[in-house]
Amino acid sequence: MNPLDVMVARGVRAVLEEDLGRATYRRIEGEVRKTCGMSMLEAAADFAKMDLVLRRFFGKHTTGVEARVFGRVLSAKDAGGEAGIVIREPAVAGVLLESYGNPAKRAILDTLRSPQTLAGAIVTAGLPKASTYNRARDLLRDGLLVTSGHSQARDGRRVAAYVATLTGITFESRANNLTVSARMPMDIALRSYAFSSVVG
Amino acid sequence: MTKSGSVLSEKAEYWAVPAVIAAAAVSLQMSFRIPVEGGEPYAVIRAAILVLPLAASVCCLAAALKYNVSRIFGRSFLVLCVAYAAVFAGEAAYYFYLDPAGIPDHAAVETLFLASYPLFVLHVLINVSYFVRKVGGWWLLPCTVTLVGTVLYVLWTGAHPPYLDVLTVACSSALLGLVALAFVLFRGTALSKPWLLLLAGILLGTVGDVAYRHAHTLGKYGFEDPSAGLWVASCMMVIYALYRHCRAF
Repeated sequence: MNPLDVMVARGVRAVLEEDLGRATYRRIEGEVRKTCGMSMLEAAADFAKMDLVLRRFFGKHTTGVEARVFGRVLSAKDAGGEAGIVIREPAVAGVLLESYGNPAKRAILDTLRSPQTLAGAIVTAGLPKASTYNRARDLLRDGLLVTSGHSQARDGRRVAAYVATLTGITFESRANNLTVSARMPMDIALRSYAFSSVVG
Repeated sequence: MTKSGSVLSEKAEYWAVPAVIAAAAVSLQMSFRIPVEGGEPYAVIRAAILVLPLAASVCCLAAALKYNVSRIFGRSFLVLCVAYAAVFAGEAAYYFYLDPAGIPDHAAVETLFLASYPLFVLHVLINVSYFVRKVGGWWLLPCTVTLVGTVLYVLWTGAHPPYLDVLTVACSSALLGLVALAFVLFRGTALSKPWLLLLAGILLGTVGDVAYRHAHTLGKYGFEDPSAGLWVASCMMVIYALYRHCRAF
């Protein structure tokens, strides 16, 4: 699953419900469960599956509907070799604020600006061992961390290395609206349904 | 019920319900032939013309609430609800205060009917602009030219009752064209059948409007004219379209 799609999944769910109503949302949710055996949030994160279901409802207009839905969640542009994204949807912005506002999670994200294993990060930054794994799992679930290759542990095991998905993140609150601006590697963005959809 | 059975029953429903609507409209239209001791012969069809736009308005409101007054479906059905409420207000004015077959016409009441057309158009535009990614201006051109041309003609000649008839017929026809285009755009989606039914409803209403305006201009309108039955059928078809829309989602 692409981390940007995972990140905006909550927003997709909220926008679909806001635009087409709870009844329509539940109908799509039922179809997602029946066809893919997963929740809306999981399908929105793995957007190919969501796309499959939406095509049954909206046919040739699915691409247009997806562009509108993603367009209400985020805007994106090429920012000098990186992808610049701006997130306006409250559900997504709220998750980002919660993660970056949490000092323990923030410390993990700051440490993992360059790829390294969690064990390495714990040693380098002096992070608490027990809670770091749980918090890293939450950050992976929210699309804020992404695996970036593997490295060899001392006992010979292959251990996944992680890197923070977003860099240069800023939060701006204006008239009760929270806007999040950030950059992310272009290779990750280009594999994202959300990015492709809004960039066109 | 098996899946094939339910598909069969749904297909049968698409034929059976319009057939029932047609039968009901014809029966209401013909009701004046049934002798009523001391009663008005056109009471049934007059009541149907009055009540059905209100029923359509209430159904639109129910659909809007079913969709939680959401940005697209909810709001578009709310707009349709107001459009039918305007039609109902016009019909109520004719029913309670005016001679329904009266001449000269009543411009203030006709304005209520005219006011419903932009709302019908708005309902179509809200839906189309959301689902269709690139809507070229070309598809609005025929309707715009028709309406602007008619308005200019009415302004040029003066807004006397016969010209209001011309304007109403032009609005009705333009709306029919717009709904037909919307149906073409929605083909192949879950919304195609509800839009086909809406198109059928608007078509019946437009034919009814044209028949009425023609008879009215000639001063020959009466409730035995087919326009009354067509309006009744139009409202019932729109209500069925709303039901199918809610079932589709």
